[in-house]
Amino acid sequence: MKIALRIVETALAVSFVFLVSFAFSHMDTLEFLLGKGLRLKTEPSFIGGEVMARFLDTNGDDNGAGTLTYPRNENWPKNGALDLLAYTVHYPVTNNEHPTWNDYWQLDFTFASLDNPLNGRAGFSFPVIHVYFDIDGKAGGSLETRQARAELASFSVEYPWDYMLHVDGFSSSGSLVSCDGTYQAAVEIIPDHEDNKILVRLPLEKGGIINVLKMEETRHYVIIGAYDMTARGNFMILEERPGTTRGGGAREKNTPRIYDYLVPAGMAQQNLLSPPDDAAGAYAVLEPVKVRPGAGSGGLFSEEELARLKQEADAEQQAGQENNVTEQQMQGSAELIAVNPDAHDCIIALIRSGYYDEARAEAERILEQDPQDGFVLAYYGALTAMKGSSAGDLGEKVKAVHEAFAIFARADGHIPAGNPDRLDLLLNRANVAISVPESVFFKSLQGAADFLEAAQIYLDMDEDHSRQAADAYYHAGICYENAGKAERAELAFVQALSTPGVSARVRYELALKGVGLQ
Amino acid sequence: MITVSKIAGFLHLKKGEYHQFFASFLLCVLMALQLKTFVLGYAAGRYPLAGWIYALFLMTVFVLMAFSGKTSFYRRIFFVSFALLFFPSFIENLIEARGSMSLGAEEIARAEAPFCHIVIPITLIPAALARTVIFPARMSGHYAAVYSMLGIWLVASVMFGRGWCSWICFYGGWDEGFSRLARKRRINLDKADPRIRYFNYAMLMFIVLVSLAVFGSVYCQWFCPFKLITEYADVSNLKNYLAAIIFIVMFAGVVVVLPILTRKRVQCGLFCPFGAFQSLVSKISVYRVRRDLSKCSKCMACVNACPTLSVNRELIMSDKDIMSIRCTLCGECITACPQNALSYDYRTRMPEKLKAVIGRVREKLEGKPNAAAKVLLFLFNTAGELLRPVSLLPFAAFTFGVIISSIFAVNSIRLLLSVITGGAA
Repeated sequence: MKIALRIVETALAVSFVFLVSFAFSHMDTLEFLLGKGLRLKTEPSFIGGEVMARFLDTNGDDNGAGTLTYPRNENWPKNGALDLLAYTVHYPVTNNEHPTWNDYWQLDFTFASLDNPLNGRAGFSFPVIHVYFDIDGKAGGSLETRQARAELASFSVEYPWDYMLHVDGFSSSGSLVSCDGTYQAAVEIIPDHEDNKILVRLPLEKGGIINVLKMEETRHYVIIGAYDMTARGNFMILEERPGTTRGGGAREKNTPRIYDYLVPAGMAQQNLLSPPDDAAGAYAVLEPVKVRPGAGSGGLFSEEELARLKQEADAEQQAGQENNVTEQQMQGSAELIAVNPDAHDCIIALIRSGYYDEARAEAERILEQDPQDGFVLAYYGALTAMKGSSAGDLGEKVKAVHEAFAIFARADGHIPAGNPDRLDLLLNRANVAISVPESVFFKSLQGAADFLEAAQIYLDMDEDHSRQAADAYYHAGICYENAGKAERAELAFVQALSTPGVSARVRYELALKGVGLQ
Repeated sequence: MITVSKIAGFLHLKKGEYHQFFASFLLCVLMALQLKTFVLGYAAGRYPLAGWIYALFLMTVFVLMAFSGKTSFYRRIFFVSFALLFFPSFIENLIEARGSMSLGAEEIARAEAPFCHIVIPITLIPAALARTVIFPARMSGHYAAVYSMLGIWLVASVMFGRGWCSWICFYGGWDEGFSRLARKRRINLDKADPRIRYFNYAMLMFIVLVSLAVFGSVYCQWFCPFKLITEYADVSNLKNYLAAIIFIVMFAGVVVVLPILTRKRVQCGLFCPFGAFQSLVSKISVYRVRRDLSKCSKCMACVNACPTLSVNRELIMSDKDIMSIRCTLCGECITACPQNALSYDYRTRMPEKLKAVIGRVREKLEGKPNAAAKVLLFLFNTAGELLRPVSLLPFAAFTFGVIISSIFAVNSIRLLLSVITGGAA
């Protein structure tokens, strides 16, 4: 028995010698297995509590009913600053040790961008957020905005609001008030610049707001306006033409001063934010989103809906394959080199036909003559990484990927923004980044940034490239997922879904992940 | 003509030790391959000069460790260097990611605090009960994420148990370094009440229970001496102000002053809850330090040498032949023993029967005069040498330390070169 034990221990010790390097080389797999087996999550009280519902809003709809524009002011960007992409409602956190209050309720507002050029105390400059809550679902409450003639909107008679949240970037804290003004409390604002998110924590210590602890369902009117310190409710005044301190695009005097609004599923922002035609001076009537566990974008897809999306994706794939078959022409590498006198075309033709070694040789030949050819460097980087994937030795694989990124960095230096070859560099580098294990190379964020830049280039080209733009956004989301940035991934997916030419495959893949727009 | 005996003479090798030399040589070749993969390939990336500097340093340390037999001395050099090189790079990462070393509400709300191994025992019970990690860290996709740290810890614990504390921990090198600064000890902890050795278990119990009660990592919030050189909460309120004072006192006291005065690793041996936890995990690990009772003269040199107070007089006076579970496998006692009574071993002692079988095979091979038998004997002895814990443990543990340290150390060397050359490197 002891002999057997001793032999087992010796065998274990020997295997450890190899296990050490094996474990580190396959840390991704180890992490994956641990994650699958343990299914741990960060203690919710640190991060605002478990998510109760998450609503995704269309990207690029920060124009109210479709006509609003930002003020013409050197500090104001052209878009994105008032573009709400996601609204997340957490379960209330109770008996919590760390933050300011023992019991609080966190709401997250994610924007397309969250800059602070005007040095707002809360860490952002442009949006003003109002959320009107119908907590109890009863008739009591108000149908008008907290401050008259602020947002220029009114509320659904079915859901009068009980409490209102006000958040802007220039107060150290936001405020929560009841409709009758008898309750007022400061709320905590935490800006998250990495994810362009504003986290708001509402105290649940006294007042009727405590009722959210026992309510199964609440209704929220989520309103985004442009901040103006002097305007009513801090909602910037809108006129027909934008000025330095006035937003533009307001066709009527009663056009809501709302740039983005979280519309309930099945409704259109344009309709909801258009003032009624029949009554002069009447305000647009807002409808709230219903907040209950599991509500929001995650619960949009039924089995039937998924089956339909899959059918569309399959049909699209089949059509794509048929087109490829007719286009595909297999030729010898020598022939390809002969028929492509342009060196750049030649390298691409060789890669497309699968002649990677020949393509690499051709790239090396060109680089010997012109080491600063950014286009060739962009492809040489990708080919170097591919060489690594076929290498047997782990060290060679790792070295090849590092070399590839060093080559991409050289290419980056020679292909500035605006250069037509930049798209090739971005896509090559991003495709390598998405393919290599994150825990070894940490390239997913680089990949995501490249895909996002590529998407923007596609969008700037013409409408024919919108599908590629959507694909690039989708892949940026996958990169973010690989980097453990789930929320940023979701936002990239929103951008993909908001892009007009999004493919059925992407819509289906995202539906499987539970990502869909309101 | 160059003959084996000439080479042996040049290397001061005695007859019969050639296989030992060859085994060490093979281990060095294997280590060179590991360094090529993990330091030059994996960590060096765009900084080949820094990578080469670190790889050459590690290779030199390992070669000296393998051939000189002074495992503890060269381990110490590696361990202290690792600790010193870890922090500049870690701090640079923090500053790059969040603009400062401070851990604010934003980082906590985003669960972006790096997950360190000391938190593992604190998080285990809540994780088992509620599947939640009571620490604001990312789950995956980062070198200091929960799953990657758990993976590293699992592999290391099965192998080395508390050996983590002398080979892998990126904090331990600090108090080990300070404990070696003074030549003479001013306070002799070996003669102190033996119960102080259990203080870290009390600390572990206290930290785990209080953390469980408040569902937060109390050690990180109040007691970690290394907060001072990693990250800390913004000193913006009274609570954080008090915590900052405690951090400073802890670092100065248990990492700097007490190790200098006692020549012991006070933080690792008496305070660190993770060290206490690893002692318990050591039960399942493979390696031990074993005492040959027939050789031991009970001179207490090992008690004197042990930096973590893991060896005590009671143990040496008893007839136990393996060191306690508190042992960090640092090898200081092995080097200090004048009788060579201590050595690395596996948990199970080599059974006499197996010893006899090996002896018989060796005798048989020695009895045969032909060259093939001589070669076989040489290979047999070399394999035997390679399979000895004294060869395998330093190799595996050093490899582990190399991999953990490589990215940080290479980056720190790059930073250092950059400072020296004024940003040109």
